[in-house]
Amino acid sequence: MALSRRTFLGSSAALTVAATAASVAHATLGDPQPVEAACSVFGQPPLEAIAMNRMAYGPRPGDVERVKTMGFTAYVDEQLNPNNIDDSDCDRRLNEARLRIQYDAGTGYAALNENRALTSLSKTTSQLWGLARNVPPMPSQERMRPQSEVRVATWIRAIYSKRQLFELLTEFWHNHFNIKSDNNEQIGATFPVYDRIIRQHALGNFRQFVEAVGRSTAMMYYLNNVTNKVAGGEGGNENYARELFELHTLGSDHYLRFYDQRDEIGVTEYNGELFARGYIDQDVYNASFCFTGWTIRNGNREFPATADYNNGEFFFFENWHQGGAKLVLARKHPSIDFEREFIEDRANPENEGIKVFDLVARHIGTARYICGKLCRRFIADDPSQETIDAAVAVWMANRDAPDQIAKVVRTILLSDEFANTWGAKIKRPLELIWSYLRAVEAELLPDGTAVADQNNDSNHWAEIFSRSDPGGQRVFGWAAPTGHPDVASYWANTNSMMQSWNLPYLLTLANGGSVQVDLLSKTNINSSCYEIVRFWMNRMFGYAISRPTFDELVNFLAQGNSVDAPPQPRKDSQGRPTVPDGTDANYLRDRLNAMVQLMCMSPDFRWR
Amino acid sequence: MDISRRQFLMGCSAAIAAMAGGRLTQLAFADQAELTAGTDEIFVMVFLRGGMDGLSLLAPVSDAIYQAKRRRLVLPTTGDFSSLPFNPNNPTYPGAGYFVLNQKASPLNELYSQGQLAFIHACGLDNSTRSHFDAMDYIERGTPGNKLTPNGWIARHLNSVGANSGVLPVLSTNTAAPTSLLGTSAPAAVGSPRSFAINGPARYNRREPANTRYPWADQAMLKSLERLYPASGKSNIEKVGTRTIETIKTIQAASVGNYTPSNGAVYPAGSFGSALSSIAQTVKLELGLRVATVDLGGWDTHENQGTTDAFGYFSRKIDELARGLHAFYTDMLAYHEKLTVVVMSEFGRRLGANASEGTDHGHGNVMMVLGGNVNGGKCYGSWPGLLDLDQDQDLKITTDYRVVLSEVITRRLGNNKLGYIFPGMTAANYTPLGIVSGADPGPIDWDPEPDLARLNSDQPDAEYRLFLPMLSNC
Repeated sequence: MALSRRTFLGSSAALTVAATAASVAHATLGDPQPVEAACSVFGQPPLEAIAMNRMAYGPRPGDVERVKTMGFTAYVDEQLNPNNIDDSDCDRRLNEARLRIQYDAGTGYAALNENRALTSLSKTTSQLWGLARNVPPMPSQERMRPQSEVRVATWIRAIYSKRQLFELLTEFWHNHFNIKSDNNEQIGATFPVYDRIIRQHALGNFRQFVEAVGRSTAMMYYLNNVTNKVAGGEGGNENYARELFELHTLGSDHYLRFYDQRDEIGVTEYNGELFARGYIDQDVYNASFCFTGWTIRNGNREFPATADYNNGEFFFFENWHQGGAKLVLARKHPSIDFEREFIEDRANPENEGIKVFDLVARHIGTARYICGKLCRRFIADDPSQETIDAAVAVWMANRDAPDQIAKVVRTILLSDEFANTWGAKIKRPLELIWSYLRAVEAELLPDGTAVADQNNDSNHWAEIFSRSDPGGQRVFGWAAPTGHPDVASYWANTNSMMQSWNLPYLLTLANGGSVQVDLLSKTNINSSCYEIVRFWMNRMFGYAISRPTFDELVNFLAQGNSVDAPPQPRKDSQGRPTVPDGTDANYLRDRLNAMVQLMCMSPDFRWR
Repeated sequence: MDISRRQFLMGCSAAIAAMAGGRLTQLAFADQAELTAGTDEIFVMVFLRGGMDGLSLLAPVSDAIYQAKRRRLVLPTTGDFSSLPFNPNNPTYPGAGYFVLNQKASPLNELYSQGQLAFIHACGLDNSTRSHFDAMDYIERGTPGNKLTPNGWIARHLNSVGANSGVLPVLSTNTAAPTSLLGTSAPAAVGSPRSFAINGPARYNRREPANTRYPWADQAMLKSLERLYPASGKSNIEKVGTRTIETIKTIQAASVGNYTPSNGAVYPAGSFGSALSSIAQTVKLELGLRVATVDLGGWDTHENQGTTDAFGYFSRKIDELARGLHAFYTDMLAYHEKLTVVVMSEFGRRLGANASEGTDHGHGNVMMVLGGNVNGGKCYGSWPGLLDLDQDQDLKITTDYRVVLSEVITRRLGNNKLGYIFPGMTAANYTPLGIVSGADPGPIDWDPEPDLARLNSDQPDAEYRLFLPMLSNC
């Protein structure tokens, strides 16, 4: 059986990444010499560089120095209070963003071609519901427009927002409560509301969070609870109830499948509190019964025929509710009155679903599952049980706290394991391109902004999505309710690798570029090849990379000339400038662009 | 010979050779010991993700229980969307008239009547899970009940016949490789072969051969990239990078261009059709392709399943599946004798329809095997009926999916190491059904841990948990 990372580290002194090991060469910005990788793994970057690579989408110029100056703990606390961070530059970019919308005339609407601002982001469900209903008649480009605007806003925030931890957590929760945003028009139209729910609770209280998600129009449609109603004999629709247990709360490690007798399931104790040891299929069915009648005001012909029953908002429709007592996560134990485990509220049957949320959100299994996922997100594919347990303790102690999630995340970020782990995660495709765009201070252009190349029709966002989607990571684009995988074994594959290698070029240079990057103007091109690579290494990584990678990049930039001199044209055997550079001044720009792209293609740039 | 080993042995610098030390010897040894176990047949795994409703593909339409439980989802037997008559040609099944085939499966019916396609009903994962993701994990890792097995069953098959040789032995047409391929260095996830290349500033990326107009066309970036990802790299990122470069060069050398399918085959629009066409194109490049995987998702039909008219959701999914498989099989005419395609899903769906005109997660399902050596035109296994249900609600399983795959693995792919490929399976639960023709490659090896040392010397760490680069012989 394979070694886990920890057991391997524990058994091999030569490979330890502990900061005290003699074999580890420490790299700091004050000592930006590339590491001599004689017989060891590369040095572990300083904590401020780890922070920018794992609790942000990579460093922008100055970020690493800033964290070093203010101190890591202060930075964590700053990031955990995103509303106190001035994000006006990002806000301005969101306001200035334009996303083209273009369609031909159809029945009931005229042709349109405009570069429109992100006008749906702050709209309410009832304001957006006409798009879902197709009233007045409109093309699908209009109906699905709101979710496209959220995709654009997410890219802009990833690259420019100073609330980087908040953006990472928003992405984490979007994947945890995954919805494919263009699944249908009801979801596509109301997706800005769903994004605001995620953002409202990303650092908040999980119990409030899971219920807000469960009541949302988008989740109601994605997992079909919108049509979950009493049915003679057969189930209503168990899709949502099943994924609530398996993906949103307890996780499949706590799935015990079928049991004939509840006595046989057993209980788990945590700090004196008793919980069902896991969930069984009967829990799924009974929870789905509790949620019968939880639906959306969508003009269903069984609802009253008035406008306020077709506004896209949540409501409980008692006619659809399955009566009777239900057992969910019931505990059979001598100290528990089993009669009290039944869920039934005839006076207010909506409370049965609320009781299910109480049960799953307070369960120890939920704490373990989600804390494990958070550690996997921020530390390692295979985080230590010790750190997970510490996070679980904070989670359980703060189940009623309004800032429960912030407290848990703080515990994880300030753990020894966070500070002492490097390279136990890789960048997924979007993390890779976002970190590149941040490091090179890319400018994302509003659609309609002309660029030099006549082949570029200035439809920049469509170009960005069509070029980045084939990497496999798509904002709100994962079809299954699991969300994007968060382990390297999925992402380390030839397709994702090839797509990631090409993306910096395809986004910024092909056809004049959909994203504007000017490396040459940021570079002192009269300094030596060595110094130029060192400059960009500090920008792109924030720490010193491996010597073989560094040397290869220097040699590439020199193209056979001295590495201690500025880049020169390639020379022939008589020392005369020759192809492909000759005397064409643009060779410097192309050489630099190619070198920085290679830096982005290097194995070093993949590690987090 | 494996291109990576050849390049490593021939191209590595003295410095790398010195650093690699003992590993070089080990590689050379592995090279000499390379086996030619297995056959050069092509295996294509089509996975229908989400739980395909086999009871709406091959439906027990005259069964009163099916009629009562499926209510408004019952396949029509009259009118424009009348289903196709179907004969299981198996005395252990109910006779003609009991089953019908979905009308949109007409292209499959053609292959069935030509004896190229076999169905196995009431088949699947013999584990009670109703979780998509657990079920897929169990199936693809080949270990029902255990989702921690560090590698996939196809990977173990490849490892145990040394089939990572060949220039491009494995192709995954998805954006990433599926779990069944976890744990082998061989898979190349390639969306489309013709676009698998490096894009960069042309001045330093122009491709060989150089000519008078572009005398500098030396692919400087690709060469630099090869040095950034030396064959001696041991981390998973370096290994995958090396594999990516090899794949880029292979496809470049094969001059992969636009593709015109053979025999007038027309693939359906969409990712499934283009994935199958990529596989056909790659097979015809003769790069030694042995295994290809392709996914078709969207089968989780909890709501408005749409089985009763041609425009319903499920009808359109079956249409895409059936036309895709038919086009692929037509396109691959010249390769039928060495081609086997298996189609399966993680589970079937609940017998009883739910309140949303859909079906929730169920159990037993239909599996399909297609190929030139398939004893088609027949249903295999046995039909358990609808009176005696799994958990009192779902179609029972009478054939373990591993039995179907085992027959293909032994009799078509020439690998007898079933104990290693499907740990936990024994002679007692393997009775071949005769789905494919061919003989077993000697006695079945039921040892879960056969001596594969010679074969696995070039494998990456079974679990990709170590990402930092390291050298093993300091």
